Amino acid sequence: MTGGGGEASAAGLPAGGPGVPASRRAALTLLVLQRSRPLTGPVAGLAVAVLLILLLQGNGFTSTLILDMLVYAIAAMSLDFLGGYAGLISLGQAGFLGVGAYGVAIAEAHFYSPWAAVGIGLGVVLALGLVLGIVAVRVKGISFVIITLAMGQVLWGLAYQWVGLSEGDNGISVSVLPSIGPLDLNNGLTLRMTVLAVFAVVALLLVTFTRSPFGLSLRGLRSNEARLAALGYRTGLHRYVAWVIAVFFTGVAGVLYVFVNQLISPTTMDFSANGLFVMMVVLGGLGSIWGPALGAVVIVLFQQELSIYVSRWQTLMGLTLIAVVLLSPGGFWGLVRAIGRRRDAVITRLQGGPGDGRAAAGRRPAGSAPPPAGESADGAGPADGAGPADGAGPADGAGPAGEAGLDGSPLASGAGQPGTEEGRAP
Amino acid sequence: MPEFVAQTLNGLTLAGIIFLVSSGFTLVFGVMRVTNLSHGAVYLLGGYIGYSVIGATHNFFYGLAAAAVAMAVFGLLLERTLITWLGRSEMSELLATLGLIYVIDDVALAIWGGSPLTINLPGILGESSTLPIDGIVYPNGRIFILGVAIIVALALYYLLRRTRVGAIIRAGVDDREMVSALGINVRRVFSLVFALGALLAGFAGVLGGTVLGLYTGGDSDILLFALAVVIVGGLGSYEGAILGSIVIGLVDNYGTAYFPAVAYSILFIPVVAILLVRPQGLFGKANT
Repeated sequence: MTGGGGEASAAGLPAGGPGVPASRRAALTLLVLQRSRPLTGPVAGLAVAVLLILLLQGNGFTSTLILDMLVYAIAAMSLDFLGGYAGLISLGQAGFLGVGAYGVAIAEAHFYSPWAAVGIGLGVVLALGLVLGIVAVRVKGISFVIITLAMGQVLWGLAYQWVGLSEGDNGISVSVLPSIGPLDLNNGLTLRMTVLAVFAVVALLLVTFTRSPFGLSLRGLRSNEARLAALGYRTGLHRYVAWVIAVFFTGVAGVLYVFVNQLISPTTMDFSANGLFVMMVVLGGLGSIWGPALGAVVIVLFQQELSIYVSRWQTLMGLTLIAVVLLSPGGFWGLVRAIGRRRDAVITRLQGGPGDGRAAAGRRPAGSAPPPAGESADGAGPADGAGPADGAGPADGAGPAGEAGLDGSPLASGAGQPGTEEGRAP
Repeated sequence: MPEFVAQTLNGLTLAGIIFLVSSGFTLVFGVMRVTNLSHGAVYLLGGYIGYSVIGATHNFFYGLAAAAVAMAVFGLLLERTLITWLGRSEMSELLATLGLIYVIDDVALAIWGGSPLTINLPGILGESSTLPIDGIVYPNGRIFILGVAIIVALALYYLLRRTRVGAIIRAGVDDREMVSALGINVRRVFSLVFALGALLAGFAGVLGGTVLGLYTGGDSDILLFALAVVIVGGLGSYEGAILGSIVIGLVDNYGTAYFPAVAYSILFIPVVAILLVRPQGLFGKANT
């Protein structure tokens, strides 16, 4: 096999079939894999969207469950934007969801029109985010977690103790939802589709942010803030903007929450709820936006489905978090990514090119021994220049993001995070 | 005026309980850089265990000792298993101990149920006496708690400042690598500190159970106090824990007494003030 030409080395592949030369079979596989690569994301997204639209047609338990998932997913994705990209894990996120929800509920209770109430709810959460951000982003790491936890508890305390404003433990119910022309949220189906639409918009916005130069510089400041500051970036301002974005979108989730549940009470924003959002993000996978949406699905299933069958479901939930932190720091999305990387590895191996002895060695029957280090999925880079599966290619990662994986990722062991993948690039 | 004096004493009693919890939390962070979010849950679990032991033996002090020892063992196990497995990753440890809160709370709920429990103090501690100031009648139990907290604070101070172990712990806070380079078994120091922190939390759980009661969610309440203390005092500083506890205990108690609608939020005032002026806390060092 050494030094053989394309034809000769192709003999090393398992025989395709009697009439089909093995090299053509390999070329076909390569073609399929390469073509499918850029399509997988959109196709999967479209499939999920169609599925959700179909499932949300009904008015039953499934719809309620999915609505819960979508609302929580918005908050979890916002938290991931802050935690997975800017490295600021907030344990006060449920508090801001509560502020959005209470803003609407209290405004409606004071006889504002539903639309005005939405404006007030979002306005209050934005203002609060702008003000608290000044304090919060002064610190990072563990201190940031502690301070946001304190903020969340204080917001919960207000909802619980300030009975004159918040009705205390009973919470406030909201019965009239906004409507404009044909868009009447009091209609169940319209409400469900609106929640889905808002989810899609927020998700796409967040993904866009993470791929923008702003998102890349966030990753950069997470891994090496001093270097980024030396390059002239205003790192404090970056963190502040990321914080405000995350708080605002969580407030949006809060507004949807109060419309879906028609009730907001302090338990929605207690310590346990704050922990749940962090759990969604970590289970789903820090730094992946879509992963935390998946995490929200899992947690809602734990809460609503598993709790019917297992009385100690909270124990199970806690143990799941511990297991994920111990065993799979990339979360569920890390597993999805691993599949994507596997495909990239196969592409690279098949592309190895004729006449290259090393590549021929890499062409041994599928599944045997990983490709040589130099040819690992991202390092060698496919000829078409496309980046790792998450779409943030090495090409645009040339700046700060190129260093993202070296140190300082939120979980220090952070396997399966975007930074780690790109960091390996030579 | 008598009212104010009584409220101040209440605040100081609360400060004593908060100190017992936050001193363990801050020592563990200072020496090991481990943020043990389940510290509040350990406090609550200690309280519940104390409650059961007191119920079985009819002796308050057995309950106090049992809770402290049980939690010390629990802390030791936790340090030897989960914390060791996670190997020095600050955020992973924080997240894993977050998961542990749900487990401990749920198990406690299964065993002791959801209705609040109160631990009764025995004999003379359960009565009240008239204080020499303004003739205030004040429960002996609270004065007992305050006294115990002061004795523990002095004992810890002696341990940290006057003993070899204390010198190693303080050196560990300043420069862990250097300590291990000097041939000191850092692993053993870590286990000791972690167990000590859990012991103090379990001890505080029984004392706190007499004043604050034991209830679902009591762990996150006490955790918030501990976190506020370390923000004000500085993460990892023992002196900071003492001063922070007094500030937070008094502020919370005055808040509850005079502004009940926003009591919980008033805690935030010293926290924000410190963050704006001195983000690392009163006794904290920058870059922690």
